[in-house]
Amino acid sequence: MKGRGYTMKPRKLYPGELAFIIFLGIISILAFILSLQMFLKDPSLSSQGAFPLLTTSVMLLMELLMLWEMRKCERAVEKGTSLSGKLTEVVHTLFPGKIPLIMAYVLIYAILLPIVGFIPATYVFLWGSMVTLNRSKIIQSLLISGGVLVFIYVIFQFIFKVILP
Amino acid sequence: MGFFEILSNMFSALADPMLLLYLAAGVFLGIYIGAIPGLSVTMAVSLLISFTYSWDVLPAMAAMVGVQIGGVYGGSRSAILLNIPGAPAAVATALDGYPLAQKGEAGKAIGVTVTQSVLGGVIGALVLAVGAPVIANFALSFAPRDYFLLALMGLMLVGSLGNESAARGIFAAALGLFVGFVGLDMVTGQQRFTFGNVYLMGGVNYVVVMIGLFGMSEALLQLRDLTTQPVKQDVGKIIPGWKSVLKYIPLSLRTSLIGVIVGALPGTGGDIAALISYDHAKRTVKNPEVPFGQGAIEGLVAPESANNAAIGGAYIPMLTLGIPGDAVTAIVIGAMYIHGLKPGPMLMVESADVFWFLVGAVLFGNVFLLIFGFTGIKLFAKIVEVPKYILMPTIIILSVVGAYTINNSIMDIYWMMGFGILGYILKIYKVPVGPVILGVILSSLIEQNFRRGISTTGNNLFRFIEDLVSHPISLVLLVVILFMALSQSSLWKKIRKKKDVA
Repeated sequence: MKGRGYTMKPRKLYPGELAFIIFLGIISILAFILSLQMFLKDPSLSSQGAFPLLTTSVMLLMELLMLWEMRKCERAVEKGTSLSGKLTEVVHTLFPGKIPLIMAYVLIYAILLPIVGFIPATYVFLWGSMVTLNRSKIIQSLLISGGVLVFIYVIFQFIFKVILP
Repeated sequence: MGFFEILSNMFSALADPMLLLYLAAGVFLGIYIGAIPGLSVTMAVSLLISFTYSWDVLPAMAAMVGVQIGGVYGGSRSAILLNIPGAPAAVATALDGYPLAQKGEAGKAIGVTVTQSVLGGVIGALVLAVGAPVIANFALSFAPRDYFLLALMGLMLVGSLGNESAARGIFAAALGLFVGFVGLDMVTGQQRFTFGNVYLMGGVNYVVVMIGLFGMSEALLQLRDLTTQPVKQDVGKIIPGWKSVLKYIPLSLRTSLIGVIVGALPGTGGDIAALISYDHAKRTVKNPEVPFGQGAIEGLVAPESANNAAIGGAYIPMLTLGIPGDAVTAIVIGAMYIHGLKPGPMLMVESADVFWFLVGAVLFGNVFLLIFGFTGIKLFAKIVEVPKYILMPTIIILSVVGAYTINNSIMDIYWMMGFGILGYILKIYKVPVGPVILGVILSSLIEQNFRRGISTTGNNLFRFIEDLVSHPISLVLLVVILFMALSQSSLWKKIRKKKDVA
C-alpha cells in the first residue's frame, strides 16, 4: 500500500499488548476468510468481494509485521508468572482506578435507556458517575447532574428540535 | 466579466441589511453547533430547511450559508480544547490543536484557526466568483479512477497519523476500510459482513465511529488519572498579529487551493480536504518551530484554511451544474428546489441575482466569522477548566446524544460505545486511532470508484493501469501518489541524508 518509512523501536510492552495484537490477528483471519468466500462466489475485480479481500490481506500482512516488530521488545510480565498474575497485570493496565465502574455504568445506561427513557437514565448515570469520581460531593452532584441534564435537554430538544433517545 | 463588476454584483446582492442579519445569525449559531460534538453542520442545515420553509428564498439561503461557514469553523473549537473534533472536518485540527491546549495555549490556537478559516473561506469565495465555470468543467472531467486515486492519496495520510510503527498505522487504516464495507453493497445491493443481522444492514455511519473513537474513548482515557489538574488557559492574546498571518501565507494559499478543488469535486468535502492539506503541510514544511503532532501552528493553518475554502469549492458544481459538492450543498440544492429555483447551468442566466447572492453570502459570511470567531473564547476555555468528574460524564452523554441524532437509532449508540471502548484499548496499546477513522471516511469513495473504474475496462487490471497512465489527470495524481509513497520510504531518506552530507 505504501512505503515502509518507519518501524517500531524495541521498547517494553504493556501488559496484554501482545495478546491484544494477537486478538486483532484472529479478527483479521476471520475477516479474510469471509472476504475470500465472498470473492470466490464472484471472482472478478469489480465484484463486491474484491476490495474486502485486498483490505483483509493487507490487515493480515500488517499483523505479521506487527508481530515481527515486537519480537525484540521486552515482555511486560516476567516469564514464569502464573496465569492469574498475568491477568491481574492486564486488568490493572486496562482498567485502573474507577474505569471499570464507569464502564459498567455506561453498559447499564445502554440497557436502561430504551426501557426507562432518556431523562431518568441520563440523570442516574450522571449522578452515579459524578459521585463515583468524587465522593465528597454527593449533594452537589445531585444539583450539577440536574443542571447538565437540563442544559443538554434544552439545547437539543427545544433549540435544535432534535429527537432524544 | 471584470473584477469590479463581480464585486458590485456581490455587494448589490447583499445590500439589504436584513439579509446580512440572517447571514450573521447563521454564522454565530453555526459556530456553536459546530463546536458541540453531537451536532453536525449537515444536521443543522437540514433542520433549517423545515424551519425556513415559509421564508423567502434569500433569507433562507443566507441563514443556511451562514450556519455552514460557522459550523465548519466551529468544529475546531472542541478539537483544540477537548481533543474531540466537533465535526469530521476538524479531525486533522485536533492533531496539533490539542497539544497546544495542553500547554495552555488554546487561545493562540483558536486565534490561528479563526484567521485561517476566514482566509481559506475568502479564497474559496473568490475562486467561486471568478472561476466557477472553468473549475466545474475541470471537476466534471474527473473519472472514477481519478476519485480512486484521490482517495488513495487521502490514505497516504496514514504516514502522518501513525505513531511509532508504520505497520500499526496501515493495519488501523485497513481496519477502518473494513468497517466501512459492512452493510448493503452499494452496487449489487447484497449484504456484506452482516451475518444476516438487520441492524448491520445499514452499515456503520462514520460520524458514529468518529464520536466513539474520539469522544467517548477520550473521556475514558482522561478518567484514568483523576489527579492531574486542568491546564490554565491563557486567553489574553488571542488575535494573531499580521506578521504571523503573513508568515504562513504561502502555506495557507496552497492548502486553500487544495480545499477549493477537493470541495468542488462531487462527493468529497471539507473533511477530506482538511486531511489531504494536513498531509501536504507535513510534507512540505521543512522546519516547523514545533514538530507536527506536538502543537505545530502549520498543523492548524493547513486543515483550517482548507476546510473553509472547501465551502466555496462545494458551491461551484452546485451553482454551475446542479451537482452537490458535498453533503451540505446537497441539502441546499433541495432547499433551492423547494423555493422554485433550478440550480444548474441556467441558474447564472435565469436567476443571476441568486447566483451572485450566494457567492456574496459565502464571502461576507467569512467577514462575520472573523468577528464572531473571536467571541466566546473565554467561555469555551473555561470548559477545559471544569473538573473532570463533571466534564467527562457530560462528554459521554453528549457522545450518546450525538450518535443517536444521526439516524435516531439506538443501535448507533451501541456502535458508538463499542468504538469508544475499542478506541480506548487501541490508544493504551499504542495502535493509532486516527487511521481507523480515515479508513472509514474513505472506504466507500475508494472502493466504489475502483469498481466503477475497473468495470469500464472489462475487469482488466492491465487496461486499468493503462488508463491511469494515459489520461492526464490520472497521470498527475498517480505521479503525486508515487512521489508521496517514495518520500516516505527508507530508501528516499537515505538518499536525502547522503545529499545533506555532501
